[in-house]
Amino acid sequence: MRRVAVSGVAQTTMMERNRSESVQEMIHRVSHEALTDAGISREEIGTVIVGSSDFMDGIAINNVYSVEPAGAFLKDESKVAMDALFAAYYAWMRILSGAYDTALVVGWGKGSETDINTWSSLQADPFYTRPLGLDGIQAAALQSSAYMQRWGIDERSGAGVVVKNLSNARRNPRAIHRPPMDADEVMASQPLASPIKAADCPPITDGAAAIVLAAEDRARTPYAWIAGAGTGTDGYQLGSRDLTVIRSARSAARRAYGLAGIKDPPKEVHAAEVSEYCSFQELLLYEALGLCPEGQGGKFIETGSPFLDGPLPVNPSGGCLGANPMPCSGLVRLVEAVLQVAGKAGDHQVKNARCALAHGASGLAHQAGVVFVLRTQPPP
Amino acid sequence: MSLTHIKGEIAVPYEWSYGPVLGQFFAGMKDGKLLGARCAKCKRVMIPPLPVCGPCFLPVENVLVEVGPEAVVQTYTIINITYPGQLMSPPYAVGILRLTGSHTRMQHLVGGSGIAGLRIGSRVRPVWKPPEERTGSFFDIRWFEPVEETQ
Repeated sequence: MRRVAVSGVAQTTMMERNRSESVQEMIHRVSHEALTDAGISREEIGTVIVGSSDFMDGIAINNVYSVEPAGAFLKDESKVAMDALFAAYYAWMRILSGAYDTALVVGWGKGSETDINTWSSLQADPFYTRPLGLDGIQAAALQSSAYMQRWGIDERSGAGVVVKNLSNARRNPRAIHRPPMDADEVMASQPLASPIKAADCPPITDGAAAIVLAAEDRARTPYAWIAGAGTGTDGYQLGSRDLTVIRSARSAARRAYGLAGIKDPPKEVHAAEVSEYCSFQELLLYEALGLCPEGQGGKFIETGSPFLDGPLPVNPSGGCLGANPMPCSGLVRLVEAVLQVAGKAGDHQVKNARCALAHGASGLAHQAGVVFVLRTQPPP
Repeated sequence: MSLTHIKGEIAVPYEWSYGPVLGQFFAGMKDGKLLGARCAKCKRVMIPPLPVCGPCFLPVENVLVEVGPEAVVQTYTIINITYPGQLMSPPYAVGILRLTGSHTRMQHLVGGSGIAGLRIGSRVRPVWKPPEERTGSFFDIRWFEPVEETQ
C-alpha cells in the first residue's frame, strides 16, 4: 500500500457567525492556505475532493458552486455529501489507487446561514419520523438515554465532557472561546430533549478546513503519515439499531487499527480527536473507539483520563463542543490530529504525541463513521 | 460601500410514492392495525416496515404481518423544544417502542399527557383516533399510553 502523508493543513478561525465572507471566499481562503502550507500549486494538484452539504448551502449539487474557490477549475474534482473527513477518505483511496499522487480536500459549512435543526430533520424519513420532529438533537437524545440506562451512567458524566472541551477550546486559537462552565452550570442549562441540555450541544459555527494529501515521493512537507483509515455505516432507522453502541465508529476504528497494526488502542494511541455532536456521544465514542472498555465511558471521564493532562487526551482541541462547522467538523478533527503528531498544536499540544486518531461522523445519531490513524513516522 | 447579505427560503414540493409495502402499512393504519414487514429468509419482522431486509439484502414478504398492539418502552426523551408543525406542545415524550411480535423498534409519541410515570420497560398500548378521523398516516395513532398493570 502506498504511503500517503498529510503535507498541508488549514482551518479558518471558527466563528459563530461570519458575516464578512461569503461561502466562496471562505472556501478559497482555506484552500489557498492549505496549498501554500504544502508548497504545492493548484496546477500540480492531481484531484480535488470536497465534502459539504447541499442543504447547508441551499444549492443543489453544491460542488458546482465551489469549483473556482476550491481550486478545481478544469481539474478532476468530486464531492462526498457527508462530513468532509469522508472526503479525505475518498481522496486517500484515489491516491492509493495510483491514479493520482496528490489531492486537495476541502470542507466547509456556515451553520449561521440556515436553521441547522431543519437541516438535520431533512434526514428523517417523511412517513414515520419527520412528523415526530426527529432531528439531530432528538436522535442524539434517544441514543444518550438508551446508553445511560444500559450502563447506569450518570448525567453528570456528560457535563464532565462539556467542562473538559470548553476548557481545551480556550487554549486553541482556532476554536470558539466561550466562557468556561462547571458541571453544575451544565446541569442547570436549558433542557432540550432529555438528557440533552443547551450546554451539552456544540455552538452553531461558520468555518472551513482543507488538507493536502501526497504520496510519499510527492510530499514536500509531510506533517503526518496515514497509518490506516476505515469507515462504517449502521442501519437507517433508529429502531433497528443498538443505540447503546456507536457501531459505525467501532467498525471504522477496527478497519483503521487493523491497517495501522494497532492492537491495544489505549496504549498505542496518544491523542484522539472525535466528533461529539453532543457531550454524551463522546462517552459512547470512548468505548466504540476502544479507548476504554464497553460500559465504562462514564468512569473514563470521571478518572480524568481524557483530560489534556491525562494519560489519553480526547479532543485536546476542544472538539465539536469547541467549534462545530458542520459538515466539516471531522476534517477539522483530522487537522488537529495532524498538528498533534507534528508537534504543532501549541497550547493544546499533547506531549510526545506520535500517534493520533481522528474521527468523523454523519447521519442521525452517528449512523456513519470514519476513522483515520496518523503517525509521525511513515508506515514500514 | 458594500451590502452584507440577502435572505431566502426554499420550499420544494414532493409527492412520495409508497410502493406496495408502505402502501399496505398505511392502509393498515387506516384500519386501526399495526402491520410489520417480514423477511422470508431470516424471519425478522420490521416495523415501521422497510421494503428490504438490510442484512439479507432481500425484498420482504409480499403480505405484511400484524404486530402489537402492545409495546415495551426501550428508551424515551422528554422534548422541551418548540418548533412549527409540532404534534404536541412541550413537554411531551418521544419513545422507541418494541411492539409485540416485532424485532425492530419504532418511534412514536409516548405517554400522552401522563409522561411523569414513564419508565424504560413500561408497557404501553396505542391510542387510536376514531375511524372517521384516520387518514392512513402513522399518526392515526395519537400516542402510546401506559397499560395499567392489573394486580
